[in-house]
Amino acid sequence: MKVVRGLRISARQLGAHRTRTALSLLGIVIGVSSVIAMVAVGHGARQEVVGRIEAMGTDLIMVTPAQLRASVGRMQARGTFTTLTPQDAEAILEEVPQVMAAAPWASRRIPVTFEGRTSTTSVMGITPEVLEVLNVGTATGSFYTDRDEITGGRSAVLGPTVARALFGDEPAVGRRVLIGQIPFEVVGVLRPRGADLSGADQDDVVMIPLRTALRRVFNQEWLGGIYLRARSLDEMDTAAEQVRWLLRDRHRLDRTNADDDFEIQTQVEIMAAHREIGDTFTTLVGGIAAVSLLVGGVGILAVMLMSVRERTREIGLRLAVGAKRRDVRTQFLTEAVMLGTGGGLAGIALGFAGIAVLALTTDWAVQVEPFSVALSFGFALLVGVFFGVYPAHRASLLDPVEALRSE
Amino acid sequence: MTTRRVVGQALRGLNRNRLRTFFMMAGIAVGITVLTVVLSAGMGARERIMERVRVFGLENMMVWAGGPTDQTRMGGGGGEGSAVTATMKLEDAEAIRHEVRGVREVAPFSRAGSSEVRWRDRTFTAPVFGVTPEWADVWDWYVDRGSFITHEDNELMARSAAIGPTVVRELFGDEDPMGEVIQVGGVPFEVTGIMVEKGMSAGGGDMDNRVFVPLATYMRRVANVDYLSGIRVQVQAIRDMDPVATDIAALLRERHNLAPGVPDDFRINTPTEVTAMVEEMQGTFNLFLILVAGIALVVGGVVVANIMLLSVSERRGEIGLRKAVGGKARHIQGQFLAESVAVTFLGGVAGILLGLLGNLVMERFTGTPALLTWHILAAGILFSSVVGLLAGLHPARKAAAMAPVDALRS
Repeated sequence: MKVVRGLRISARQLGAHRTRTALSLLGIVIGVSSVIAMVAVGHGARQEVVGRIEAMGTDLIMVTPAQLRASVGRMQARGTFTTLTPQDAEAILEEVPQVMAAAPWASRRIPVTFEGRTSTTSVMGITPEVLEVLNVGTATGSFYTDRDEITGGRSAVLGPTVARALFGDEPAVGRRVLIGQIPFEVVGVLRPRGADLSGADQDDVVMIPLRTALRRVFNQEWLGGIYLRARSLDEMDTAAEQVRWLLRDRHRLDRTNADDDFEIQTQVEIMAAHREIGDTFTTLVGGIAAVSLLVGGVGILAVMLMSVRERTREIGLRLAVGAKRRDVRTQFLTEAVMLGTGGGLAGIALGFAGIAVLALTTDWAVQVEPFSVALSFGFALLVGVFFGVYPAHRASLLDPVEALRSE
Repeated sequence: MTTRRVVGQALRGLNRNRLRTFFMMAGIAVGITVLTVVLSAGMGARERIMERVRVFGLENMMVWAGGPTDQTRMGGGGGEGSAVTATMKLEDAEAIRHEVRGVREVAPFSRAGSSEVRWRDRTFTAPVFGVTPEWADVWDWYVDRGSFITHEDNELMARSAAIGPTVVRELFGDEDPMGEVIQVGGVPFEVTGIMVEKGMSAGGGDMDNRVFVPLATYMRRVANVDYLSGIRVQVQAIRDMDPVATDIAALLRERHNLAPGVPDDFRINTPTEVTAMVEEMQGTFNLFLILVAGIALVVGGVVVANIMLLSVSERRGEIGLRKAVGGKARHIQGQFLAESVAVTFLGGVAGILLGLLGNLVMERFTGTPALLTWHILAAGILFSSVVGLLAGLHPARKAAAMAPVDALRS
């Protein structure tokens, strides 16, 4: 009974002073929704920016054969080990769970000819998995398929630089080119990528199925390298270590305690940039959320303090007609909790609405952070209740006459 | 009513109710603070991120000797061989530096595939580059220890070399390479610097497998050539990349006396992919800043308006009393205007101080220097003042328009 009556009195009080109630609610709503929206915007932007860098291949691991060493005086053996094979790539994909995709390749600079025009370019035999590993794709035509890879098909995809050198502005797809005297059909042209980190032209390349390249063009069985993609950035080190042990085992290096006959590398610099940019964003979003939490808090505090202070006379009146201090406290507590909960819930709703608008108007992968919802709601409720009840409590300690006299 | 009396009355009004005045000021201050801190932290972070992505080489293009159709090259696998086209000269690099607008730095280089590098009885094959000191700047690629190739090295044709970590590992193992003499293509060089680790490039090339020697020494003693393999050009602004490339092409065609119709004897590579990525990143970041600033504006505005509305609505009785004793609507508006201006001014000053303090805290907290421009401060002050004045004046005007009896009763 008493509880119900208390609730009713509080509700009536809130209803009687519409403006004051509305302003208090607004303060809480804004405090809560701004934090939720800020955090969502920050995380959306972070994912977007970091995703762009990830597309540069931060999770790329590269295995290449090591250089052969020779001592002075003896016959010079130049070049690299020939022990890395397509079977190694298959074994890595099967046995190292941290590796998501593997694209073995071999390349040489050889002439590519079309009707008397020749361009000496880097001819790269690589499996179609390259599409999953490197940031490549075709601008016209299509990439060769797994079928081409298995059957040793003679399909070629040209880099834009090669296509321009051989065909000028003419369409290249469907034409026949000679790669080291062997005819290939051009099935696609890569989209331009420009210079890479080392300044090398990534468009000056011709890609053909690896099997065809090894058997028909290069006449070799070993690889120039394997591109690997790790499942996640955190697993890069584990993946590299696992690959190393697997290859040492497969190449039987442990028996003779020999040095690695291969090298494993990652894009150290891009990874460092990736990590630092991610961290910068995370702290930025944290800082911005903290600032809006603080500001929202000050707003709530001010509104609550002012609206309660205004009611000193009402408190005096209640005390004069026989209310106990405890009753006054309970009433104000109920009011503050009602305001805080109502405003907080409305704030969450508004925050979600803002996020929905953001998701509709941008192509960001925005998501609600449960942490930010809980934090802002809890903080708003805490500030609202404390600064709603504490001054009322102080007022209830006054002599009723004093309280009534106050302006 | 004289101005002095209005101001006096306003100040008395504010002084009489210190707590209320304090909150009104706090509202304005908070509005300015949130905008200042959020925007300067955001812009500082953008600056830092853009600085960081410079390692992707987005301000640079490569001008390679040798046209697109004559690419008979020597040596080296991978994407970069060196052309034997002998038309690109050191003077071309100087001409690009002095005659093309928008060029910040020019780094000519020469290389001939990979060379054998030897130390004691160990050999290793590495790409050897003849370079000038500008090389380090355009690549953002510096020494970890020792020093890079200097101007003096080039003038004196010194035999000094800076080597990459891969070469250090393969040739020296655990021994200290500094000051040791290595043979590069049969010519002795002293190791004077060791490069920082860079890892592999997107094309899969090992960037740490490098030997850098002075360009002059390399051209005369090692390769015995009088032409360059290429020039790396850094532009002043990323958006000028394409026009600068066009200008360089025109300049080189003129200098190499190529008649119209004759194909280029050089190729220019711009980092298309990286530039596109960075532009998209910048777009994302700008949108982020706009959104965050928008939210900050709404929050600040609502807090200011809220407090103003509340404090004025509290004073209806006072307005009624003034009207009852003969105050005109004009007088009352004047009084509230003066009060609002005073509060806004003091709150604005407090807001600037709080904003600066907030920036310091954010810098400490995030480790990212905040970037505060006067635009941000001006926007914050202007916005909070306008909102504060409107929210302060509107209810006062409404109250002043009421009949004194109604106002007194409320």
